Amino acid sequence: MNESKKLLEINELSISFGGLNAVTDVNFYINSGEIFGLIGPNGAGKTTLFNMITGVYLPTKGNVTFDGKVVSGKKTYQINNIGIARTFQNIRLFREMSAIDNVMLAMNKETNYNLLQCIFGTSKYVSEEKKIFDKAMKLLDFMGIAEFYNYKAMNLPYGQQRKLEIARALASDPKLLLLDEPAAGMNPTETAELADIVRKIREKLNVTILLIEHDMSFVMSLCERIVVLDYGKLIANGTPQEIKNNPKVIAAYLGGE
Amino acid sequence: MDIFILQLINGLSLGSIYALVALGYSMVYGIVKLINFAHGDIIMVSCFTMYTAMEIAGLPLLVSIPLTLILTAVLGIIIEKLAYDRLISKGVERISLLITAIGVSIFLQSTFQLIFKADSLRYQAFLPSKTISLFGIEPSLKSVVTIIVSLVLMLALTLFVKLTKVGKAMRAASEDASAAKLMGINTSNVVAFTFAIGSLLAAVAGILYFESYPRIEPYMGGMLGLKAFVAAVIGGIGSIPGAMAGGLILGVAEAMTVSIGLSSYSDAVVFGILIIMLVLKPSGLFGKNIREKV
Repeated sequence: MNESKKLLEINELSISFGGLNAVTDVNFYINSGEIFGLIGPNGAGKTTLFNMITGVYLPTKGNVTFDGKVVSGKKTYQINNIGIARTFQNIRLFREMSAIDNVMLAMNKETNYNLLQCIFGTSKYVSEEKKIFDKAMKLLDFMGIAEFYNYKAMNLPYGQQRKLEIARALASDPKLLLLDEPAAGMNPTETAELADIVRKIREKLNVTILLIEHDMSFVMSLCERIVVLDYGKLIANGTPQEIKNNPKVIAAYLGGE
Repeated sequence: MDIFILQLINGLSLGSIYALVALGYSMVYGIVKLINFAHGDIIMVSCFTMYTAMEIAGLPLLVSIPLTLILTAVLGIIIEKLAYDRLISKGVERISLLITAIGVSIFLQSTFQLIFKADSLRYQAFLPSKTISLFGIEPSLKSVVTIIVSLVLMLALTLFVKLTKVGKAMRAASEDASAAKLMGINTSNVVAFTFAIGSLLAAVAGILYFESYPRIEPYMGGMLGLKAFVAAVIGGIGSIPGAMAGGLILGVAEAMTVSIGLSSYSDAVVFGILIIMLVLKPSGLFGKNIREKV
C-alpha cells in the first residue's frame, strides 16, 4: 500500500443553514492507511462534515474528493458503493432485524440473483445467500459478536450494538470508514478494547479511518493525525503532540480570549 | 351454525380483499410515511383494464389477467416516479405528499370518466356463480377462490419480505430510510418496487372483488379504498400482518352485520370499529408507539 497516497480530500468545504455558517472553508486531506481524528467542542460542525462527506448534505461551497474523484453531488447510496461507510453518533441499527441481517443488508449489491431464482429457491439463490451469510458471520466474528448473530439488534447490549454498527459499516467493503463518536458511553476497559478493534480494522482489512471522538486519551493514543474544528472553522491540523500544545486548541476547549 | 360458518366464509372472502388493498396502503406508509389516497383508484384502473381486455379487445382470460396485473403494477411505478419521487427525495412535508395523492386520485377518476363516461359498465364475471360442497356446508365458489388466492399471496408476500434482498431492503427502509441509504441501498428504487407490489395486490383484489360485484364505474375505488385504509389503520399502519388482520376483521364484521339483517348499517359498523380502535389503541393492533425522530 502506498502510504502517502491521498484518499480523501476536503477542499474549501462550507455549508450554511439559513444564515448560520455551520462549516466554513475547511481544508484537509487523509492519506490512505491513516487513522485520522476529527475533534472539537460540541456544535463545532463535526457531524455536519461527516454528513457532507457521505452525501446527506450538499455543501454550499467546495467539494470532497475520494480516490481522486469528486463525490459531492452524488447520492448517498452511490457514495457508499464507491467505498465510504459510516457509523452514527446515536446508534441507528435496523432494530427489528437480526444482527446478521443488519450486516447482510449492507451487502445487498453483492448478491446476484433475480426474483424468479429466489421464488423457486434455485441453487443460485441459495449459494448467493450462503456467500454473504458466511461473509457476514466472518465480520461478526472479527468484531467478537458472532455468538449474537441471531439476536434482534434492539436486544443486544449497548457495547455490542456499537460493534454491530461497525460490522455493518464494514460489510460494504469500504476503503474509508467514518466513526462518529464510537466510544461514547463506554467505560475505560471497553474504550481500550475499541482502540484495539480500530487498529485491527486498519491492519487486517486495509481500511482508512476517520473518527470523531470526545475522549481525548482515546484520540491522542490512537490517531496519527488530528484536525480540530471550532465554530465550523479548522483551527489546527497536526500530530497529537502538536495538537496538545496548540494554544488555539487549548483556548477552544478551555475558553480563552 | 351452518349459516354462521357460511357468513364467516363470506366475511373472510370480503376481508381478504380488504387485506390485499390494505397491504398497499400499509407498505407504502411504512417506507415513505405517505397515505396514498390514489390507491383505491388503482383498483378502479385494474377493473377497467380487465374490462377493456376482456370485453372490448376480446382477449382470453389467461391473457387478460396477467396483462391487467402487469399494467397495474407499471402504473403504480409511473405514479410513484412522476408524482411522488421528487417530493420524497426533497424531503417535503408529509401534508404536501398527501395533497399530491389526492390530486392523483382526482386525476385518475376524471381521466377514466372522460374515456369510459360516468355510467357504470357491466362486467362479465368469469367464475361461475355456483356453490361448492365443503364439509357439509355450501359456500360460493367465488368466496372460496378469493380466500385461497388472497392467502397464497399474503404468504408469498411475507416470505418475500423476510427472505429476499429487496424484501430486506424494504424492511430496512421502513425502519430508517436515511440509514439504509448510507448502507448503500437505493431507497428510491425500493419505494418504486413497493408501489409496484402494492398496485399488483390491489389489481388482484379488484379482479376478485368485481367477480362478486360486477359493476364498474370511475368512482368505484373510493369506498373500497377507504375501507381498506380503515383496515390498515385498525391493524396498525405500516405493519404487514396488521394490514392482513385488519382487513379480515373488517370483512367478517361487515358480513355478520349483513347476516343479522342490518345491512344498511354495515358501513357504520366498519367506521365504528375504527373509532373504537382509535380511542383504545390509536397505533392499531400491531402498531408500535411512534417515537418522533429528533
